Amino acid sequence: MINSQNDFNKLLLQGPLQVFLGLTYNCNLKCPHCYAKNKKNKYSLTLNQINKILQDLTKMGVFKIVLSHGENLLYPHFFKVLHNIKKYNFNCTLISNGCLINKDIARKLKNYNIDKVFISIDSAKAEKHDKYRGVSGLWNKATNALCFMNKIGIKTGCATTLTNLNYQEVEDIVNLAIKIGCKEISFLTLRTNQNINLELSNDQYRNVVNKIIFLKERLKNKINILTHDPLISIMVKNSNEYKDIWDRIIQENQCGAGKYFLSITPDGNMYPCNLLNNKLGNINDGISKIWQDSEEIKKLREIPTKCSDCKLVDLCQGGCRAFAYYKKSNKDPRCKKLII
Amino acid sequence: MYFNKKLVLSKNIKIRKNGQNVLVYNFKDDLFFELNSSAGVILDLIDGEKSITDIISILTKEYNGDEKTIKQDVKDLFRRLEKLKVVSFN
Repeated sequence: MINSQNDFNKLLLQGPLQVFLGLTYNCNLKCPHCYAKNKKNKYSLTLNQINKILQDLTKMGVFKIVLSHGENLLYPHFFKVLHNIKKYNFNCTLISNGCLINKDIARKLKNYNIDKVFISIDSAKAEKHDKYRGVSGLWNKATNALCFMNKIGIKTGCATTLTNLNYQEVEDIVNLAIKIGCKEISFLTLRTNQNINLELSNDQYRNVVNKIIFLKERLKNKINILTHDPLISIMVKNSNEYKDIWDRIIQENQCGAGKYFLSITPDGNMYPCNLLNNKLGNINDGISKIWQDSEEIKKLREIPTKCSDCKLVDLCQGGCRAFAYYKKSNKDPRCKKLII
Repeated sequence: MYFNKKLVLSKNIKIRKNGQNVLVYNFKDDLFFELNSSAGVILDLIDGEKSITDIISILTKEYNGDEKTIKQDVKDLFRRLEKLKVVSFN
């Protein structure tokens, strides 16, 4: 009686389940791996635009809004927007670099009923994180922000993008998150079309994924370790050892781009997810109309033709569309190289 | 699983309906899944007062079906819904 989320149907055609919304591209950091760095400080949505977006998303039955793209705490009306998001009864997660979250802001976030806050943490070592992000003292601010929020009962998580600078310290980062009191840690696979020399080799990626899944099982009662790559379910060795968490591994790693995720950027444009650059349209064209009628988005909902005969397609659904997009391929080009 | 305790829907879920098909989002665990129309009908019967036994009885009368089959289907559904933290028992 319970279906998987793989099939796109009428219930999903009504609207996405989760929308990544960027209020602003303003940011106070210069992170080399940032997917939005070319647009930094260029655009912000107006309050009127945001209210119209929230009304449209309510009509579409969207469950959750993830505030992302820029450092949204720099948006001058941030708390007014958060108030409206909660007024419309959305679940709301904020993704932040943490440097603006002092005790007062943490308390304010709690008072405005934020559901979850993810803070970017690139390393368990302060100097490494600060050097990578180009701001001295940032790691202390970010970890303090997490401590402030955990102390007053805001659910928090660390967001860590896996690069060749930090893949060897995933266990240390997980232990740091546990020590601080985070309930979740989200390991993001680096996706970019920019040559930034931070990518992991296939062997490095395969090994770190297996390490993360091992930790996910071992520490499941202490912290929820998340990954977001559809190929992970076909990369895990000895998957029978992870019976208890196997359904979750598959579900958490499904690609939701255009199926149940939508991204709305601070310039009002719409994309299937934060990491895909194929513009679907603009909010002025009608969010619902684009979600239902865009030819671009319809393509994403289909299994790539090259994958249709593969016996693993039920697990990976054709892989990550962002990797396929950047390599101008119909299917995820990493598939043959990462499969065990 | 308790057959005679009152069933309650979790506070951590949100529901989207289209006809009798239902999409459930567990925002605590960030998981969502779809229920087919039969499960949607059963979910509609959860009102904080009825137990699994009550629901089996209602369905057996309403659909004039085989009690044993209905009981098994309902049991399987609630076992999964409990695991997914959609329902709990009062």
